[in-house]
Amino acid sequence: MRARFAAQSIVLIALATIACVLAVALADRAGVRLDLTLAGEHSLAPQTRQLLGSLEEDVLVAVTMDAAALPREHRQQLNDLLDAFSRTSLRVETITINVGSAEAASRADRVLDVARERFAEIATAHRAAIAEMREALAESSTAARSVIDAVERLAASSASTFSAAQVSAQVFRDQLDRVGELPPPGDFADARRDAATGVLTAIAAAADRLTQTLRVTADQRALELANRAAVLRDRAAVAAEAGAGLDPNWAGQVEGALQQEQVVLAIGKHSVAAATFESLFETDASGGLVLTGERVLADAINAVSDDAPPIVRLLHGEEPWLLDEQRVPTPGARQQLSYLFGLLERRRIDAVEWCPAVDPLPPSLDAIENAPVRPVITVLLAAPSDATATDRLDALASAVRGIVERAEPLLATVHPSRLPGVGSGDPIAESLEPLGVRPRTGLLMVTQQSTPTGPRTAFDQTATPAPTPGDALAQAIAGLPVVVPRAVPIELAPDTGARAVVELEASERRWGETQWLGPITGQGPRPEPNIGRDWVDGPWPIVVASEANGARTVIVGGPLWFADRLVATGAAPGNAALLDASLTWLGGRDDLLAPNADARAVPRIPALSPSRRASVRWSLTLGVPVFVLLIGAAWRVVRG
Amino acid sequence: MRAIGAIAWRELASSYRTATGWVVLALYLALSGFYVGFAVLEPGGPASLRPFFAVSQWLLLFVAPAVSMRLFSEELRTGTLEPLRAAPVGEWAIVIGKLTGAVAFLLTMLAPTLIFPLILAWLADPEPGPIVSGYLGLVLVGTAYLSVGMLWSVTTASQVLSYLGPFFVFVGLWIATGTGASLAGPPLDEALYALSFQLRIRDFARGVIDLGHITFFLAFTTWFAVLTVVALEVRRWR
Repeated sequence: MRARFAAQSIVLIALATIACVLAVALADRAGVRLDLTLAGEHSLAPQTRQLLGSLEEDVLVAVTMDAAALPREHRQQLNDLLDAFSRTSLRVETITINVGSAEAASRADRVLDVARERFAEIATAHRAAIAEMREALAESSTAARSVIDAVERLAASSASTFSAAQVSAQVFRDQLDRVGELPPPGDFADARRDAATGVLTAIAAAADRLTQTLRVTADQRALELANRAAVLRDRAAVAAEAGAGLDPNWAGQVEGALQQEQVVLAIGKHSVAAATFESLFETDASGGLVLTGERVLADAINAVSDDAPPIVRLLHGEEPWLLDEQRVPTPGARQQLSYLFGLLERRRIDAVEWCPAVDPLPPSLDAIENAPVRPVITVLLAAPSDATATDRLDALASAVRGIVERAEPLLATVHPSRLPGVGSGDPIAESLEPLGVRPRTGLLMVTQQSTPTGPRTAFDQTATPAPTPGDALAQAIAGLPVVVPRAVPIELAPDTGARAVVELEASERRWGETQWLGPITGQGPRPEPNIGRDWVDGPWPIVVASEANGARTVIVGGPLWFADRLVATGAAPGNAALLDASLTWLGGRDDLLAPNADARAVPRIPALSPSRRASVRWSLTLGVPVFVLLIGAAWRVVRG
Repeated sequence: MRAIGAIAWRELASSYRTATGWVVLALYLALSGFYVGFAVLEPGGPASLRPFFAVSQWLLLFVAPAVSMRLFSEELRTGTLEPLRAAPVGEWAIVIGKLTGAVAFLLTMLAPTLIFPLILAWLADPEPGPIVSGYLGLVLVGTAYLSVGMLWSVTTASQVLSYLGPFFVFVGLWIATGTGASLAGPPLDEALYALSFQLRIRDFARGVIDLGHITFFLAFTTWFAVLTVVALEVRRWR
């Protein structure tokens, strides 16, 4: 009997174990989850889920952070968000590296191992190129000094004939003297590659100059030396070219990024995208920090999985000043527009500068990888700062007209203009009219405010767009304050596919003023609304989207809405969201438009008076337990 | 079913018949009230009970064995288990009845904590969803704790051992599925993480109800209930 009981018990336990394990495994695999938060805080936006579902290659997302410096609730939110990404797609793996933890080093090594494995071919090519450059440099250095010595001996024999060659030789020698030996090729040496390329390019240039000056002399000995110098030049140039033609050393960039304290990395199969840790958060309307990392992570993942990110043409009415010859933002541009350039870099969007005042034709995109298959978005940043430069204004308007005629995506900023006030049309505004919009650049939105010192006229306008179901662009900025300095109202033609994205609400104290030049310079009288002259009936659209003629266009009425003082400081979160969402929408990636920060706002406990706070604390700590004990005592008394 | 109900009611009533039940209840409320009052209801902080739910799983670690230690140990010590088994109810009914009684005590212990969301709602505008799911998580994890404690109490007449046994089991499980899993590395860590209470409760606390988590806690409880039934049978055959 005992044996039978033992057998029965073993079978029962085994069956229970199998049933329990199976049930848990099946339920875990089913992935049935119910998000009870009102804002769907733990559910990714449908657009993000679509992006993650479409991934065909693995992406590793690594977030390094100083967890101790991050408030608890934000840390939790971030972990939840990363969980949601990895749960939604088996292609996405997430790793958080808390720089203050004992596991930081091993986790960073894991990320680096993935990068090294994925970009092993590029690293090998880099090592080979650096070895080749080191060899070329060593050979060139010895041979070059021999040639230089020979040239100097020639110059000593006939100074007048070889004076130019002697100067070139001296330049060459100086160049060689400045070059030390290149460091040995490490695994991840992007900077070394660039340095070596620069050195060899300089040596090739010096050798070329010496070759040319020697050939001019027509002396047989000099020609022989010129040939030797030409060989050196070619050797150095070939080696430099080998280095310059390499893909970016992504693994090296990952290693560099991991040395920063806080960074977000998305490591794909073919490239890496990085964002600052701070970009995962935004400041909401109440000044609180809000996690908006879903969009940043989705952007980064999209950047490493999207073979054709957009190209942006930065169009303006000045001389070139934004980008240098390598299309890198100039220090001045980065100082004023760091948010814009940061956004472009984060999304791996290449930028070119178009200045019609210098060249009416759009800049060539030949140097940009995959340019023919990438959407090109033109961003009209600003009209000429000199209002009297009508030729520049006309050139700019002509460029805009061409974009509209070619039905190309356009993000346009329009400025208040004095031209309509003197009876002329604003050519920029007129060039946009085929899109079904009419920027009223002759008007300036003003708001009359009451202050303790009397009425005041405000020229900066703020609007908080309401949610607009069905309009992905409007939804992306809904609830976020958009600040437009010197706002220009935009009139919409009916049935043209143009719609208002941001409107200034109707108010008796607000209107579109025609006589704004005096007040804005502080010289005229305080403006008053004039029903016959001004646009007094709101609402007034100040951001408009158009899909007329199959072309997507976003027009913002007002200059400098994307300037750092608004978008990089958190002063106008709607502006940052508008810039980001506009580029996404114009690039045709509606699938990447995610809900904005406002939807993620967390309700907070208000300030409490000390007495109220103390009463709540002690009621909970002592009041409730004592009350329960009293009930217990009463129970015992009653029941005996 | 009637037998299960009778046993459950007897367990619940006996819990409140002694001072221990009330003291355990008051102690739990004092500790959780202190935490909510001083750490959760911070002006400017999020209007959420998520930290309370996170801490409660730890508090239950101490409280649940105190509830479960009496289930069988007391009967074994006083010799009342044999009369109960002589009654026309099977081992299954005894085990389910006692577990139901213990869970009912857990519910009456959690009921006064509903004052926390009420106060939170009075002060701010918290989201109700995460509060509902948080309480569901607490009930599930508490039931799982009780099931382990019940198994332990059927093995010994000593209430001290009945308390310490499950307590150390859970501490061990906690360490194994937390630090242990990260030290073990793949592939063992996956299995350990799958057993982690902490990771699963976290979802409930943040407002997510996952079918996998519910199934896990129910399966965990069922498995220990089965072991308790077998342990009771073993006593008969000794």
